[in-house]
Amino acid sequence: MTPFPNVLLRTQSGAAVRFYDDVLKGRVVTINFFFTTCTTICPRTTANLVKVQDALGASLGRDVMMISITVDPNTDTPPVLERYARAHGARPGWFFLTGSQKDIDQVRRHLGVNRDGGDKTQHTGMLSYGNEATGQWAATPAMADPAQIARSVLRLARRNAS
Amino acid sequence: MHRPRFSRRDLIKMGLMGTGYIVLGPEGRVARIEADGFDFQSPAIRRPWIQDLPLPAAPLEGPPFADCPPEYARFIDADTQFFQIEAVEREVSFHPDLGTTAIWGYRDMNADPAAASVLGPTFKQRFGPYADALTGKPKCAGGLVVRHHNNLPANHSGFGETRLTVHFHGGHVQAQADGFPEDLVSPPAGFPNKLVIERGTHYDYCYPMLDPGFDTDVAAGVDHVDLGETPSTLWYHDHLLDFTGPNAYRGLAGFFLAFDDPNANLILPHPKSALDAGDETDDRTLQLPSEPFDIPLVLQDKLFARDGSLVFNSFDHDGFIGDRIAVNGAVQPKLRVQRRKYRFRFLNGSNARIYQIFLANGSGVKYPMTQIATEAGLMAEPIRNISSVLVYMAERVEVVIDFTPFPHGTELFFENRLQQTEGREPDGLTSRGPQILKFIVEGDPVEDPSLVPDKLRPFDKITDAEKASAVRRTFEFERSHGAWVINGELAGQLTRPVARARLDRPEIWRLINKSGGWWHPIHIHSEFHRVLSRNGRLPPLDERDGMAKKDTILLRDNESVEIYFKFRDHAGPWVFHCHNMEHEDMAMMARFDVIP
Repeated sequence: MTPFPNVLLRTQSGAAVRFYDDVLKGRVVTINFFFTTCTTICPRTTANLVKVQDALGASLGRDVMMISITVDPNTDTPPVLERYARAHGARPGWFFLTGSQKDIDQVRRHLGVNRDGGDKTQHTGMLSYGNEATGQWAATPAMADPAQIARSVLRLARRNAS
Repeated sequence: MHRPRFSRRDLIKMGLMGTGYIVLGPEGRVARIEADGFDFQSPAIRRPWIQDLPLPAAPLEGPPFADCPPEYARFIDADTQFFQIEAVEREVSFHPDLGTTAIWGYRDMNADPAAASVLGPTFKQRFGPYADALTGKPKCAGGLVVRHHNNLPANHSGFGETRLTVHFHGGHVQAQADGFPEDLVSPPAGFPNKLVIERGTHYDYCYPMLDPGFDTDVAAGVDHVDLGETPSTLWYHDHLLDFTGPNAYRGLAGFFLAFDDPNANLILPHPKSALDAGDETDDRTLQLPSEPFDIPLVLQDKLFARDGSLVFNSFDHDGFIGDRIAVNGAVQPKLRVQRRKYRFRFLNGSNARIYQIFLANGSGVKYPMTQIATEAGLMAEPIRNISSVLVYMAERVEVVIDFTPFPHGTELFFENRLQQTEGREPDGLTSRGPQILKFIVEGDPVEDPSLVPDKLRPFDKITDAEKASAVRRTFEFERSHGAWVINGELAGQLTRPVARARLDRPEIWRLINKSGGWWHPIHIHSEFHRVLSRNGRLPPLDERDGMAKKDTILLRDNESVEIYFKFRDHAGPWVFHCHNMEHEDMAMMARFDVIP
């Protein structure tokens, strides 16, 4: 039994990954939810996460992974996510994930960010962050000060090194 | 793994409390629980009422520190007391049926380590300000400095973060001693940027024990209109950004009781008859029941694994709800009482559970209590013959109970009849509820010098002129896309203030809860406030201006309150936030600055 749902998801490059075994296990991550055709909060959120990516610098992909999961998997296939990632200048270490609606909903429920009444335009604007190895998890608005987000996440990452 | 999607509340309604995702570590230890539809039950308490109510000792004074921050210098002199507290992980027992539990606790470094209890030491301090004996001028120094050490373990795993900041809840102190949630990247001029206590380091907190207005009012040549709001039940607890819930849940909390000093050379004497001096035999004072008949009680709900370890769900952002209610760190303790009056100081130190406490016998028959105080200390008058008290997170409610009429051997209980299965809000009152503390009445009636006078600590209401001169602000709390929003702006940005209040200038804030289905106790740092209106009407007596002063105010679904304050003496960055700690950790918090 795993602590997180170990559902099968796909990255923007089409790779099949298990949410726990391949994505989270032993890692420091940020996790947010979005969809590519979202016109409410996603454009600003993604723009903010681009700044987080910048603030993470060389740590992205090495100490910290950024995970963005679509809540509209029927539209957001790996090729669509790939275009979205490229359009926003996502660097290696920032993964965009899709999967079945059911599995994605299970991940959202697990993270406690599923209170949108089934309306995807009301999906969470929170960013979960944590260190799977130490079991420390917190959440902050994905629109929070990008430098602050980066500091919080890197601090958890440093705990792995110490 | 597939599980039916029922909420905890659904399962309780169906009588189907199941087990949740449980990660079994070595030797069957529950290593971690992180799950949606989180359902978990603590082991049964088979032997209730076998342990005595814990009453943590006061900390012991130690030698002065030569290296206090220079900003504290004006508050430190030969009368200042120095204490050293460390946050450590240690094994305690909440109940013999629950085995031993590793907690993070505050410990008095000047005391025997074996004496440490679940709670931190209970500070008991007297208030100034005093006049200089020679010149008659106000003397700000005195008070205390507490050096907090972070000696939490390296390589911690599990919920919580081993960085600390200690909030003096209800205290009126310099901002740098308030326990700001995070280091400041660009602090205001003259303000330190390093505020968090990293592991292996310490931080000094200076508590001058001065009435609000000691600087600004004296400078302005006015009386201390709020003189005497300070003898009160305060507390200290961790306040780390994003991790206050798990850190406080692990045990980082303690009491701080403040009293008047009837022998002090006070700069502006209180009416002696209104003194809350903690000595029921001193007829110059109010003579409320005093130690050992003055008993602080902190209520904290917990979940325990089979091996006694604490269980916490880091992904329950609605608010953590436990199924065992600890009173001063003990589950279902007992207290033998004499046939006389007692003072009880309730503090809700829970993350998200709200209590409504009744005094009842084993059959549920209720008995009356008298409320005497709120967060800011004594009310103007007692409220007699109440059958229950609502206590929301961080709130303090003090009652006096007279056990004289109960025959020897009578058993009475504090019973919580407010059912709550989710962190969002209580479900409602029930006819019976869990008994959390047992009283055993003993002996014949004893001599009882204590009193509950009809006037306690009268004070003037805010006048219309003061209201008219106030700066008015409105803060609307809302939920948008699963995040907390204040006035349409994302909450939680501590790098810049949402308001700049002038020192000593009256303010009226209208706090509005636009999130239906959620209750939010809002706590504002630095000053107590007066409640002018609730939903446009006169507030209930126990929070109404002229009767009570508060530092935390409840907003039920769609409620609005209007509160008045004047920020005095201490400029600097402060915060206000929801004291549902999971809401606070979800950034339901804002910074405001007080500027000269």
